[in-house]
Amino acid sequence: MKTVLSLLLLLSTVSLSVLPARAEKLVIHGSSTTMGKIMSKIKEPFEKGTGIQLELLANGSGAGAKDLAAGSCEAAMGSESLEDLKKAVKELGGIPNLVEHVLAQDTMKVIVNKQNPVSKLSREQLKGLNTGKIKNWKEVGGPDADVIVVTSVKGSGTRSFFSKTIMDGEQYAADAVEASTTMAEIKEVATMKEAIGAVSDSFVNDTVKTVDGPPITRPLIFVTKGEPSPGIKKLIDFIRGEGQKYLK
Amino acid sequence: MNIKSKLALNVSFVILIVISLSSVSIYGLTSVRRNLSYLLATSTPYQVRTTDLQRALQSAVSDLIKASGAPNNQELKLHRESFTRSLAELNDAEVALERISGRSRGIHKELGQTSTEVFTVTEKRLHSERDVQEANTAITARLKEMTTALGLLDAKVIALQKANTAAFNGAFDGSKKIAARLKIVESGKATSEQLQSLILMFQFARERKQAVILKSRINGLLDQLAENQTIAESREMLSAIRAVKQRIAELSEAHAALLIQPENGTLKQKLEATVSELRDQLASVSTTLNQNADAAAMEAASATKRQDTSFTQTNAASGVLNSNATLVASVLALEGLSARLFSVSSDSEMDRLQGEINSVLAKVPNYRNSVEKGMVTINAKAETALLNGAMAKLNGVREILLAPDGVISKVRLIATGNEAQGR
Repeated sequence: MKTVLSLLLLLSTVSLSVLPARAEKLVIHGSSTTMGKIMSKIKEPFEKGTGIQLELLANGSGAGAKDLAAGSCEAAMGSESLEDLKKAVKELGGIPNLVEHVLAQDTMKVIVNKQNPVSKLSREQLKGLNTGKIKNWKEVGGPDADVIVVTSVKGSGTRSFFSKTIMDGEQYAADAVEASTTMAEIKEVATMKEAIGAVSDSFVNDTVKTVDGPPITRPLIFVTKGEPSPGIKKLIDFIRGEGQKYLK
Repeated sequence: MNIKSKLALNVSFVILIVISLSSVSIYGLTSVRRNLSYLLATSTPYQVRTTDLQRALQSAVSDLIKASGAPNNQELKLHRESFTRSLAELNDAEVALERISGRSRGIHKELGQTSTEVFTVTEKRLHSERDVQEANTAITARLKEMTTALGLLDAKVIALQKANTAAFNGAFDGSKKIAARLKIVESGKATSEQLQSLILMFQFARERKQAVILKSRINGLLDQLAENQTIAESREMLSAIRAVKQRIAELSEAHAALLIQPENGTLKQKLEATVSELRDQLASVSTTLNQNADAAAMEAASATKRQDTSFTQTNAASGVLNSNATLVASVLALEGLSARLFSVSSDSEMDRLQGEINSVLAKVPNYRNSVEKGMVTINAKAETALLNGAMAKLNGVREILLAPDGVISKVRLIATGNEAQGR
């Protein structure tokens, strides 16, 4: 019996020493803006530098927050404050110790089709256009054409933040075109002469035109349940420190 | 006896002594004079003849030594003539001395025999040296020709490599251009198909705003399609796109009219007919784009194949150049070693040198095979003749060097002779 036990002990010791250590993996879901503006740029250097794998999913701030609440991710990426996120996502309501980690500030830009002559819009005009109260571009100095509002899907931090800061929390026009991603939104605006949208400035390209208007800045954040795990802490420190050079 | 008698006896006695002494002196002096006369008459010519003989002998030996060390036949002839004269003089001196001394010494005969041997050996040496010198010239010439042939081969392979590199770059650029064109065609295809779907959706739009969005999207996509390079370059497709664009307002109006009278069959038919016609026009554009895509895909495959071939050939040409450079280096090494052959002074040095030459020659077939194999890959048949020519020359050099009566054997003989002389 003693011999058998000794053998089992030896075998377990050997197998423990032979099996490779599993690489640490951080699962993070949420804002596509945070993903595009920060995570996609620092993923490779962070993984190389720390050996920690990042499993990222850009499914929108709202969906990311729901995943955090459900425990399917370790941190949620958001493109609005935790306070606003809590208002938009009911599932976060029951979690008492949520912690917000601001990673960067993002500026949003209003975009229109390149053929649209309108180049400046006030906050009120933006509100009217996006809520559907202003139906024709000629009401804001543009051509006689129906306004087509393009926005991101419900649950998007960008949509939620724009709605809160520019539209005073009012709903988008009922017939607004919902684009599944920021790039799809830009493509829609680039295709439709009558379209208007709002995206993070880091995504804007020369297929669309930006319009002067009120400054729209928002935080890009991580949300964790309680204090972050050592891995998430390391990631946050990297983004705020060494990782800055990859964000320029 | 009185005093007078005694005195007379004494005088007589003295006179007798004087007379006897005078007689002895006269005889002695006469004898000395006679002997001196003999010496004067006989001993001086002997010494002179002996000296003459010695001088003649020294002169003959000196001429013989000079002859044995003659670097060429001309000098050998001169020294030989000089020696013949010296030998004749030696003969005369010996005969002259013999006449005086009456004794024969046989110096002339002995030196004559020795000289025959020396001249024979010297002639052989000069002959070998001439042979070796000629072989050296032949080896140097052949190796130079071989180096030139390999250099020419190098130049031809470099030219082939340049041509292959240019072909590769051309194929690569072609691939890139075709890939870019294919991307444009595929983008046009996707847009055209998307447009057909959007036009179809017009029939199902139940609200005005839906139609507005559809119309806006369709117009935007038609503008993009008109700017697509493949379509812009095709008069047929461009006119089809423009024709569709001109009818979008008609489509929109037909839809708007149907929204007001949804049960109006005529309006419904008109919308459906318009949708169908526009979709057909776009379908024809899609078909043309598909044909373009197929052609581009075929060109891409062909360019990729050309690229692969050129790449393989460029690499093979680099291999040929490397092996050929090694071959040229071997030839140069052989040239250096062959040159060193002519300054070899010992058997051991010759052994070492022969070992080095054999080692270089042993490696040559591998390099040659490598070059030949690469040349088959790069399809350089004409250039293979250059390689074969160079190798034939190398075989000639090998024969000159290593044959039983070849340079190495001859130089070895000379070196052995020199070594023996040195001892």
